[in-house]
Amino acid sequence: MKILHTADWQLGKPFAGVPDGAKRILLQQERINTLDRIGAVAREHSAGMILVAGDAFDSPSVTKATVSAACGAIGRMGCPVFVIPGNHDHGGPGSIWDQEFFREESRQLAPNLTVLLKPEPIELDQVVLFPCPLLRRHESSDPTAWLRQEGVLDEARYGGKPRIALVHGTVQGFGAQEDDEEDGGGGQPNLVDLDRLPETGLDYLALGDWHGTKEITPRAWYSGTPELDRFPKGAANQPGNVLVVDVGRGNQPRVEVVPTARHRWQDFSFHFSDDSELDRFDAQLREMVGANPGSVLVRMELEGSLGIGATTRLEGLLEAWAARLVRLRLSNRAVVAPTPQELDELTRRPGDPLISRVAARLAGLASTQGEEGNVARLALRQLHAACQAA
Amino acid sequence: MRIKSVKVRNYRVIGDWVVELDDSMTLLAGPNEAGKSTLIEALHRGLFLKASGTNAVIQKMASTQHLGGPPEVELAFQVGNRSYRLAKTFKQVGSTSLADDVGNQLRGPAAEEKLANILGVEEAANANTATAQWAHLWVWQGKSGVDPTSHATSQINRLLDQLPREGGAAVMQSPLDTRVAGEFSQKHSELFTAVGLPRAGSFLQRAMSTHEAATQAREVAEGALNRQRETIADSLAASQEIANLNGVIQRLEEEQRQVGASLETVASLRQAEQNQQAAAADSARQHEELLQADNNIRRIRGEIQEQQQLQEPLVAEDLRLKAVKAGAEEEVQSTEAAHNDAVAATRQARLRQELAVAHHTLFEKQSLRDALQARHGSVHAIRLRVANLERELARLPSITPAKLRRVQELLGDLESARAGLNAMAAGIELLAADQDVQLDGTALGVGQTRILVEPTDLRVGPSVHLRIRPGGGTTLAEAKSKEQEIRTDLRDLLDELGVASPEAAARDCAAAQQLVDEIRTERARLEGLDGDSIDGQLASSENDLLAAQTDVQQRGGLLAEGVPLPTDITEALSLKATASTALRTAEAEESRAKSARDAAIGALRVAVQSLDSHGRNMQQGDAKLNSLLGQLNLLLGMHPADDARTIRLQELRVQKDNDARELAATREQLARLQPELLEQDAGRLERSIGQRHQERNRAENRLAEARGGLRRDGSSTDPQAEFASAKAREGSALDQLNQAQARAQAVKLLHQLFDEEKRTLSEQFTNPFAERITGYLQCLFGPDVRAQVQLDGNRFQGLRMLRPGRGDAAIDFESLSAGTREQLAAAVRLAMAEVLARGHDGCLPVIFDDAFANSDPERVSLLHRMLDLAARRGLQIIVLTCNPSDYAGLGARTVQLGQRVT
Repeated sequence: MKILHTADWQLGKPFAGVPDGAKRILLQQERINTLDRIGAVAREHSAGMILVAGDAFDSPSVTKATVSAACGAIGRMGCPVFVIPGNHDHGGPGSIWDQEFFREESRQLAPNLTVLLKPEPIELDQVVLFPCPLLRRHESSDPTAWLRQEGVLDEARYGGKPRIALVHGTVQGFGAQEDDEEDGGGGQPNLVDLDRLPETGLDYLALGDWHGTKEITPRAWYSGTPELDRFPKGAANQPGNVLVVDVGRGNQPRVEVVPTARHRWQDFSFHFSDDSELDRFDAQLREMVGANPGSVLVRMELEGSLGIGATTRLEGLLEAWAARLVRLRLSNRAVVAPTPQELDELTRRPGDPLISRVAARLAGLASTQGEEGNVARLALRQLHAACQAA
Repeated sequence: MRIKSVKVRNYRVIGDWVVELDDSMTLLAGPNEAGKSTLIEALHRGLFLKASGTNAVIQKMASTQHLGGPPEVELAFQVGNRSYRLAKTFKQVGSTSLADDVGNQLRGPAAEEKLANILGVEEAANANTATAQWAHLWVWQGKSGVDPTSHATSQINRLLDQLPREGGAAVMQSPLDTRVAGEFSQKHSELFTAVGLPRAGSFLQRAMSTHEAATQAREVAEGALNRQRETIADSLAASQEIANLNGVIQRLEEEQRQVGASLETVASLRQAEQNQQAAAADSARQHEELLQADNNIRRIRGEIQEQQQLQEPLVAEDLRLKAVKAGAEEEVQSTEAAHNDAVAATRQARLRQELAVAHHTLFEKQSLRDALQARHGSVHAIRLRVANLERELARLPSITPAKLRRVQELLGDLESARAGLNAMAAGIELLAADQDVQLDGTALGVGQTRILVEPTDLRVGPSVHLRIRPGGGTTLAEAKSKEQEIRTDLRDLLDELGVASPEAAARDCAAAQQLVDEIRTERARLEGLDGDSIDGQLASSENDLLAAQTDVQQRGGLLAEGVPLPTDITEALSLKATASTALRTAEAEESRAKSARDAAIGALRVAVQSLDSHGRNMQQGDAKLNSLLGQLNLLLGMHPADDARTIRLQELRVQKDNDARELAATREQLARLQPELLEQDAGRLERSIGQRHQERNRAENRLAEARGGLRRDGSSTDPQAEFASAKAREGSALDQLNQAQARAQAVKLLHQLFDEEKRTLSEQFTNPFAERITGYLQCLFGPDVRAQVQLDGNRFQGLRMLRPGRGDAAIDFESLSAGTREQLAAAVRLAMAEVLARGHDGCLPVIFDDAFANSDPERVSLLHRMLDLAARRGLQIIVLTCNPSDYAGLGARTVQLGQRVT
């Protein structure tokens, strides 16, 4: 039996940190587009069903437009889709799953969708599902606790059908750390204790919450998000995939990682030690972004120092990159350090004694650290610009 | 440039003046309104006003007193080595000529242009601008206290040309300097207000507003998100509570059903208990009633037997008591008769005793009456004698011894009065007379003697009239009157006594006294015989005797039998004793008989009482016995006979015991069920279920409300997404704000640094200028005084004076006293003139028109030093004053004005 394991679709995510409105919409739309790609993977791999281990929606109160778009995309997937609510789209009264509008859209557009809101076994023709839904943002108790109740995973039950649990939460330190600028706020993780589950009671645990693809045990995997929604944390984090899992009762599942992401979320850092490195910076960035900057988001960190003129040039370059990329998230710690020549131009002006004197004093202040130095460097740039304009 | 002389004609009050000026110092002296200021004005017009002018201007200059033609001014001055002569005639079309000492002569505009060139000014366009020329050198009257730095500013370029030469290395800011500094100053003032706050409309203020608005929007979105989360939490809590309550209600309702079933059992048991209790009570009552009747029958029978036994001895006692009573009655009768006899005997004895007493009394009365009759005869004889004596006394006059003493006293008094009178009187005796002598009209013969006791007129002949006054004065008359008075009293008293003389009075009085004594003696005897009451006593004794006789007769009649009569008192006394003894014996006998009778009566009363009491007892016993028999008969009539009753009693006892056992069993069942607790349980459960239902309703309402709040509609947005967007916008606004603040701080820093550096530069220029001013001020205020002035861009300002010992702070020009202001102003003008003179030929004229009006004479004398220093440094000083004596020490050439120079 093959199933497709996915999670953390985060549909309706606002991408509020993206300043450009059109690009925000592009990112939002891409999350819906991803569902079509997931449907295609399922069909290609003959997966019998798609299991979504929580956080299909980014919020428990997404807009109707998001609901409709999601139901439409799920309907197009063409196979049964089972979803549990995660911490972002938790269940419970008043949640998105409780809305009449959702039920109606789901009935009309996605008859293949089943939302699993209760912790009780669902016995299907070929498989038994053990959903562990989150009914609130932060469950104080382990959502898999009910599986440990006597008789739930009894060997004698359900014939030889493979058993799959759908779980959303943090396992052994893996979980969505909600420090991303896009998130509405962090909080306590929903902790899942897999060690306390019986060794052979379940054949596969479809985990959600951690956005990278991650094998916890041979039978317990985080699928990760199918389309990145934040800059990944560390090189080990491998988001942008779905898992095609071949499960059988009593067998170790065979897991295939299938990439689905369209946008690239890249980190880029550069240290300026000389004004001449500006060209190298531009070349490296160009090489990393490649031919299609319209699908790339870059988190850039700049350090070092540049002369006044070079700083002005850098600003021009960054402006261009910000326009090209889906997003340029810039952390610019490169300081303005006038070159000796620039300093001479300002301080050695026999004809303009006043400017010379002011520039000399600013140069003195600019060599200090801290706020005073920053202001002085900025003042030097302004004085430089004023003299250039004259 | 030095002005050598000035000639003025037809200029206001001046007709035609020529004044020669000293190269160094000139004092133009003259009284007020002499024309000093007019002369100086004419000199200024000559230098700076174009000769051709409007009518109005010319009119003001034209002379009103001297109608010799248009105003004219001629000046001789020297510049360097060259002398010039300037002549101007002011008219609508005036004339100007300027000639030098090497033969050059210019006229008209060329002359004006050349002149302006020499003076270093722009050609004046009109009279007003002309007046403002050389204002720094020209202290017009009344303007001496004005801050001269504005004049310095008007000469800024010339000063700045000269000042670096004074200071040495100073450099001047370039136009670019000025422009860039101005640019940042402009930016700064666009960004900040005067007090350093961000200015409205500036990019900084806009960034702050944007950030503030973004923060507020984020707070609103955060609030909405939190409310949504709270609502979700509320709905979860409410549905959880509903589930809990459903479980609780189910449990409580099951409990309620169990309690209901138990209560039904209790109800049926209570009904059974009620029935059984009635039956048990009935059987117990029947048994009790019959048992009671049986007991009563037995008891009454016993009582009847008992009563009958009690009645038997009572009959015998009754007979005995009756016999006792009869015996007592007989005894009473016999003692009664004996007593009556004793009473009669006592009465006879008492009558005899009383008769004997009466006889004894009768003899006593007779004896008394006989004694009284004898005393009565003696009394009668004495009374006859007294009556005779009293008749004799009544015939004598009534002269008491007291009256007789009075007569004797008066006789003595009369003798004394006569003797006194004779002692005081004068005696007159006519011894010889040849003329008629009369005394008080009475003739007095020769040898005749007369006693005079009062003033007496003595006439001797017709011509001699004498008055003789006896001695003693008025006392003589009084003595005479007294003697007369006593004689009258004596006569009156004798008349009253009815005697002829005092001697007769004494004789009658003695006879009366003897009679009185005899009468008193007789009366004493009478009194000894009780004479006054003897008649009464005798009458009373007679009555007593009669009464005693009557009493004896009456008592004798009372006696039944005759008794012996006594013949005398002794016999009577013996009879009386015998009778008394007999009476006492009879009385004792009577007392004994009475006691015996009373005892018999008492015994009879006791016997009767005993019999009555016993009779009543017997009657009570009979009544009780009859009552018991009645009761017994009644009971025997109501209930079965003795055997049948015994069987019935047994049956009823068995029935009663059975009923009681059943009832006890039922009650125990009930007690085990604890009905009171069951009823409390029912109430409690009902209440509790009601409360849980209410709680569930409330929870359902809360859930419905929360669901309603969470229901999505078409217009609603995602609060979480909204919050994320608002937060991102706030972050972006904060970035913008930080950048704006950094930019603004940079502008501020630039502005500040430009300001500071400009000041430093300006000081390099102004220091030599300030030092010049200080040099002049030291003439006035001593070596420690300092002047300060600043150059700000193209403006001098901040003129201050620092005087150690007068406070550490430099004092603003405007804050100085009026006198010090004009002195400091003069020093500044002199310093300016000195600096500017370098641009000329090293000399410039400085004119002070009444410029030290506010300075005291002492300070004015110090001013001489300052002006002298200026002159020595090459300036041409011209001072106008109306008090030339104040400037006597100046050492200036003095020109007295007001003396017309032709």
